[in-house]
Amino acid sequence: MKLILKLENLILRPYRLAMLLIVTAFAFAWGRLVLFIILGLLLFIAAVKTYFVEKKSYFGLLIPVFGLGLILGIYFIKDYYHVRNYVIDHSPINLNLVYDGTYQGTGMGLRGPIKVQTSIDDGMITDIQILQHQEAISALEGLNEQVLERNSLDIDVVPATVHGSIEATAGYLEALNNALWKGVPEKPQFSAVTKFIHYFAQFQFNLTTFNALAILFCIILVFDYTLQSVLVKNTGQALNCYNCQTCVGVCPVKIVDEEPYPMTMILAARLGDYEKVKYLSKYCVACSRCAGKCPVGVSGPSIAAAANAELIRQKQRQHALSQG
Amino acid sequence: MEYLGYITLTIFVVTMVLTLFRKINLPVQTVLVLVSIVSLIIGAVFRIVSEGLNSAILLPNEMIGGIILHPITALLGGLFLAGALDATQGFDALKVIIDKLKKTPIGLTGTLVILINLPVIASLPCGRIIAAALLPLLFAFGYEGGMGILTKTQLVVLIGAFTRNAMGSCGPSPIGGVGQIGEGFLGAFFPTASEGILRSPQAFSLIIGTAMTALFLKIISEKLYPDDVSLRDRPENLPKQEQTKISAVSSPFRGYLSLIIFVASLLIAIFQPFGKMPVQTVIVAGAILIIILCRASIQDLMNGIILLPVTAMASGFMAAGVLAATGGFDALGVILKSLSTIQILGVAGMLAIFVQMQTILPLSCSRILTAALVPVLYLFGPAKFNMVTWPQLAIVMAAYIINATTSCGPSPLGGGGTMGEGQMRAESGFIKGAYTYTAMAVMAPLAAIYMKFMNFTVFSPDNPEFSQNILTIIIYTAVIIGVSAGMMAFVSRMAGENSAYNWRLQLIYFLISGGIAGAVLSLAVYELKVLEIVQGFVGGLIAAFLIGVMVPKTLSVVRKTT
Amino acid sequence: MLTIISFLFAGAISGVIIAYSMDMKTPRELLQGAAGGLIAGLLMALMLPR
Repeated sequence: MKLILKLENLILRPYRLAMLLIVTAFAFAWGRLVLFIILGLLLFIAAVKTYFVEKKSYFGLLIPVFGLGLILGIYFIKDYYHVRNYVIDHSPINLNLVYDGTYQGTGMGLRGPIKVQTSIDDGMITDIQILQHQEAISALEGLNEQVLERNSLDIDVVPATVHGSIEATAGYLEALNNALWKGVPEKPQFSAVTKFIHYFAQFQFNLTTFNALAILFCIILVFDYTLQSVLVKNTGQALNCYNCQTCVGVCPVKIVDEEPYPMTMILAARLGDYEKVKYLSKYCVACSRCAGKCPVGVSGPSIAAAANAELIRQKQRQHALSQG
Repeated sequence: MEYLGYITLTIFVVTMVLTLFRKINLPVQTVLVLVSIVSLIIGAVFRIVSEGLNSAILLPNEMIGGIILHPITALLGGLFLAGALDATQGFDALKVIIDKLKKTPIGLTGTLVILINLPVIASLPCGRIIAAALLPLLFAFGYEGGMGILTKTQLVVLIGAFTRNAMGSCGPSPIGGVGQIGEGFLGAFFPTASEGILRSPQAFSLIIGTAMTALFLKIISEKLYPDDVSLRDRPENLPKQEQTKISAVSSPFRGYLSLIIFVASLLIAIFQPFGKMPVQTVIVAGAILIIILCRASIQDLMNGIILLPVTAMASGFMAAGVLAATGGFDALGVILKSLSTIQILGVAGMLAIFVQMQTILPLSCSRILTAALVPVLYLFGPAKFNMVTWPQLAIVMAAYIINATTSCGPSPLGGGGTMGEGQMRAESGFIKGAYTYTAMAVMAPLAAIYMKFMNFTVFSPDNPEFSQNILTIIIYTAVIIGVSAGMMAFVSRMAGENSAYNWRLQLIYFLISGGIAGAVLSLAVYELKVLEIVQGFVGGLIAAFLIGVMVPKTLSVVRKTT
Repeated sequence: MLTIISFLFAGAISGVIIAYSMDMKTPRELLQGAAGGLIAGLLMALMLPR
């Protein structure tokens, strides 16, 4: 499990997927926490496998890291909920306790964060501006006026005929609430550690996040699946396979181990399963009838040769690694 | 700037036709990406000259804006779920169930009927998945496959009909089906359209169309191409102990478990019993559950990915985006609108041809052209040209989509029909006539009739304008089946040894059936207006001619051609 | 309900035609084909929006 940061290791799928996972976690704030938990779990499973299969132990390295992560996680949750519970226990906010000034706050709407700025003077809210939002235009209509008129966060929700109005109103009020609480000195503040983790992990989880992650999961796997053939020399034509089995019809072999041949061999090359290609290529008589009949000219013999060459390269690489 | 639309449209159409006739020897998706890039460059030049640099910079955004992510991601999720099912021997569990069904009162015949219709019941996002899994089982029913239960003729019909059903099953699929491409457009009038307005018409016409394909293969194809299937029948003088070799079918527990999870995921995605949730979430969750509980791996999941429909849809949307951004759709709309000014054709005749467009130009995956042409069809409605009303548009859309969905079967560019041809050891092109005929003459008009007389009331329940009329559907179905079957029998009786004569006979059959299909479509859209029905008939004739001339006269060099 | 009936009808007809096409022409076999088609039609209809 040596971490070797060489570009050529991108040919190995587990390495590639781990890199993609890390890049995705950094690129998409809402998914970071979930993705890092997954990465941690995968590392742990890999360590367990290495221990039982190769008799090598990496727990000396991983356990302190996980331990630290666990301690930070518990500290974060305690601190976060300490502050949150204070706010809940003292809600609704008493505007007379808010110091005069201008404050900004953020809440989560249906489609993303809502940022507001509010000014308060002697317990009266004098100004509200919505600085940033991604909701439908009319979802936030009239909310500022209501709050100003009533000098309270107890307002009517925009009718649900506007898509997402309920979630948008809740996000708006959350943002306003967060802004006003900044003006209450008695409110406990997050520690620096909590702020960092909160910023980094963007502690939000809802169905939208999960759905977005599900789609991202699909896209990453398919992207990686196609990347495999692009990275390995001469197997790229396997990407063109239509799964039509025209090659099976003309191949003199047709079936190997109850699977259609040579289509299974070509799909194995596309997947990067070169051991399987090597096994199946023994049955190929290299007549190239498949290449002649295939609508896109995919050639079983040439793919088998390319995959076998890559297998030899992989074995040479592994041998070089084990030599040090 | 108007010229730009015509230029990009010409590039698109010419490259598609050249690819179809193998003059361009690249995968279709590659051609579409190249077409998109070239069209973008030409569009940028035009815009720089006429509107300035800022307008040209917006062009890529407009192109990408045409890509609808929902069907692509639903398809991806669906492929993962199917891959997980395949990897955990879920299809073997299905084979066991089918084997047990043979011993029930429905017997072998009933079991085979269910088996043939299984792809549409399973509703996978690509018919090749289930075809790849079950075609070997079908082959096993014959002598060469081991069981020796069916004769060569029966096996050809069984495999051909199954493949027809499979290469159309992607249409009504709720997990990334072709129909979902069109459903979004109809949402402007039918608020619940995205819940599956196009699914029932497709499924209905597929059941009937599959049966008519079986009949066509039996009565006509075998007559036209008698020497082009190299399967063997069981020899008469086979010793008794070798007469039946029963292949043992079994499945481990995890196969049954994965099948249950698969069906549950499908039902949850369709009926949403836990509240509204995206289809993609449900099916990816199902796939992950199968991985965990049935011990499949990510590798197995990826093994199930069929790249073709994914790349087809993405490239099709890209081309559609470019055509939309450069005015290609507007140009196509103008051309089709001017076609409709021809007295003998009219709007009805033009629609009758347009609906058959993808059977005339069958590509390896229907999503390529569907993504590009459904927006054009949408423009015929109140959104732009106002040639048809919303309900009329829905009827035409239903006919178009089933025609599109089934077009991948007979495609010479690696269409799914070749899976069946390979399995039945037939020459390429054996199924072309049967598949194109049933799509054109049976499925398209039935989908239109079903949408008109049954489906509107499901998706617009408070609208008194719409009513359900099952009797009309039954009558139309009986008429279409009767006329098709009757003419099939006539052609079969008249066919002889001369392949050129047989081909001409088949072409006349295509023409008459196509005309009737066009007339039925016009009946569904315009009701009892004589002029429109005649125009629809003429349009159907033209479409049928274009389809019929592409059916091969002979498949191998053995046949006489004089 | 009418959706289900229409699919039962289509399934039955389809089953009979398929049975006939496969040279299974005895009354028993045609009935079995119709039964199979009914089951197929019902399964399809149950999964469709009603």
